[in-house]
Amino acid sequence: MSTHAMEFRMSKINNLRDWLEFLDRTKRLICLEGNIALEYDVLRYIEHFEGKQACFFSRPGGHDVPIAGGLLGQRQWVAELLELPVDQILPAFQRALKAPLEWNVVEQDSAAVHEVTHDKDIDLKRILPIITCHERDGGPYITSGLVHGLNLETGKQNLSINRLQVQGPDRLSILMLPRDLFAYYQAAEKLDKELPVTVTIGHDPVVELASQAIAPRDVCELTIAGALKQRPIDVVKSYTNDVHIPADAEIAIEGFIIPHKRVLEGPFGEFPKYYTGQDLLPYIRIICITHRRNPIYRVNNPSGIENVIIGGIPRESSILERMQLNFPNVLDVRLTAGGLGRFHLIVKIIKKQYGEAKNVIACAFGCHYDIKMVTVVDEDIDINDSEQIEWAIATRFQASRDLVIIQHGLGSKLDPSGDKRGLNDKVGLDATKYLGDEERFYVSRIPARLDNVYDRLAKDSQSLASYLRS
Amino acid sequence: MDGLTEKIAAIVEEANEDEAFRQQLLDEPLACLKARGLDISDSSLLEISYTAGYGVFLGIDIRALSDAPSQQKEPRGKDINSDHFLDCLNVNSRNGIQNEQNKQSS
Repeated sequence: MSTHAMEFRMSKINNLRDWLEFLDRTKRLICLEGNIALEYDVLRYIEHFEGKQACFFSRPGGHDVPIAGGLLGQRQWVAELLELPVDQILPAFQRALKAPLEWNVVEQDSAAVHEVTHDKDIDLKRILPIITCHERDGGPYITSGLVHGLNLETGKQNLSINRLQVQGPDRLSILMLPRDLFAYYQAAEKLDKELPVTVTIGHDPVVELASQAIAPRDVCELTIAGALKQRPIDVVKSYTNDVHIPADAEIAIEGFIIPHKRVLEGPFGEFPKYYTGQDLLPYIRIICITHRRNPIYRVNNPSGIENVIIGGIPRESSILERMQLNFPNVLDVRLTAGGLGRFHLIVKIIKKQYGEAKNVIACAFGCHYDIKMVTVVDEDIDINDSEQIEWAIATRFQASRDLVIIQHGLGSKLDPSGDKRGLNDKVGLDATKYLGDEERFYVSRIPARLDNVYDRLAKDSQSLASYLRS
Repeated sequence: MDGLTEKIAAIVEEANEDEAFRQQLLDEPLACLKARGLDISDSSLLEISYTAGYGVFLGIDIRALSDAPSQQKEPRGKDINSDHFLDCLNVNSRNGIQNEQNKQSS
């Protein structure tokens, strides 16, 4: 376990500011001062430091509300957040999906997110330092808003991250993918009713991670967050609607998605670093904004490493679950950062039968159409280490024997190299050792114990200096 | 963009750049939109406003538009950027079957 993780054991994380303090104590947060422009510059800094350090902007664009970003820069940080070794993240996610933990309702007076209320003359840009991300974006976007939606038919809630474009002082357009929130909205439209939603910003990062879980309809992802934390999430009812939200959030935007009405949205630079076009989308009418006395606004880089981590881990857990049904000897999977957490999959197996890796490749392509390349490696390969994966390909792979190509499969339309209809080629690499030829694949090693090596470390380089002088 | 989105984008862009046109749009929205090829019968189907620092807001009830898109659309076989958006919606290319896993949402 890392030094950071050991320190974590003494420092429980319950909200965004706990996590920021933890990152600061462990030298993984930098503070940026001065009037850094909300248009482009804030995200430019976050992108520059992401993966290495989180950023805290004290007065972005001269705004009183600071910004934090780059908060889950590495998979290891997620492990520390969950108090787990890295290789236990996916199993923990799988367990949480199977046993969600109900939330705990607290009184409005005791909820930090309700310390300050704005319910008249709402002016989004005055209240919040909302950034513009990319040169061709249609305007400023809230990229880290967790949208809590209420199912009018069942009274249950859903939690998702949706991109939200600022359309006016009290209007936000919302992109809803055809999953649970969109189903809630469709049902509300049939009833000709507004859909109550509250958007919260700035949380315990576990809540953000849980929001991306592939959960059954009406299983609120806040209960998945509770299971991941092994304690119920404290929630509070919104002031102006019946939606419950994390009581420890930094900011809450309460409102309704208007039925039938649409507004022009986009363009926006999405996660693969290409733009989506413009279209007509539903929008939220904001009724009220609440926040802590000294709120922190959270920014998520839409095409950054953090987005890959937050979106990738839940997807990996789903793929792993499906693959292990057919191949119990599949140990782990990883969607690589270079593959945007979507397109390139590494599968670690204990190969037991001839040809099995190719069946595993075929199974992986069936798990999600986005997957474009699958590399299968043995159990001795660290699938978090791209150099080890390349070493496996360099020494255990022969193209004429171990390469699988599927032409014109269904792929992601976000891959600009593919066919306009969404067809693209799939490639699989069996980079496992050949069965029955173990001797050729016996890996060289240095059989010295590291603890003995470190016993011999000198306190300084005096011995070298003395020798050079002699 | 399909034709409708393109028309609305052009109207919003012009209104943000041309103050006279903007005022005309705010004062006589139905006539102004009709002149730009958007025939809407009732102003209650519209929500139009302008706020300095934000620009023109033009909300339209899609029931007022004969060729209006719902949020989930059939593919339109256009350029890759249009496809990006369809992929965000994750709509199956033949019949709108929804896929459960995509991007930033659940």
